[in-house]
Amino acid sequence: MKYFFLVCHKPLGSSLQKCVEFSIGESIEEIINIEVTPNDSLAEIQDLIEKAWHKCGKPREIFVFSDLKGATPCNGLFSWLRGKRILYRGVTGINLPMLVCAINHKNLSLDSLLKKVLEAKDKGIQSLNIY
Amino acid sequence: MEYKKLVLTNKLGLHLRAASKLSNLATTFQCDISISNGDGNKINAKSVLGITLLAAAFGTSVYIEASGKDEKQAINEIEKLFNNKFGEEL
Repeated sequence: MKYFFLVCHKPLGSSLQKCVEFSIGESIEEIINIEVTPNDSLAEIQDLIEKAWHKCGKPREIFVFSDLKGATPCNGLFSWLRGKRILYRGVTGINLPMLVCAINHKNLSLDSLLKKVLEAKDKGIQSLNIY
Repeated sequence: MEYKKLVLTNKLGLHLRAASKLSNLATTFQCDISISNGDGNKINAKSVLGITLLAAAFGTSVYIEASGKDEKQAINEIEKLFNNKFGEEL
């Protein structure tokens, strides 16, 4: 099973997860949601991710999402990944199209999945025209 | 190759949940399945996002194309899903 780690400002990750689960009509156990609050330090974020990683059986390959590059959740995620010998791919700027796409193609390899998610980023953000 | 024109009769059209149901169904078949709204742009019917981005509303005609071993069965099952209004409004 491939796990998707969402490391975002609370409540973005859980809200996106609920949206995807509602659309698919079932809970998605592959989504591991790490919610970061304004008071969390980098060390605390790393600890939260570490505990979540242990809880899902210490997978050797994960796909990561964060919301904003340079923001604390993303910095905490980078710090945690730097200290781990795991294979990962991922993106910042998480949005619903990217997460829907990732779940839809969860059986692909990490590299193929990354390609799909980046395509979803391009396709999912469009100027709004009356159709 | 099998081809079918279908009309969206559920009120919400091909919204995210309906797209997810269509994609899940399409994924159960080995054949390649595409969907288009007639503008020449064919979308992989196994892609939830691609289907959703068609933005096909109530009353829209869409064109399903299936090519491969189980193409007939795929078209039949997809037609049933459309006729069943994606399990909505029952």
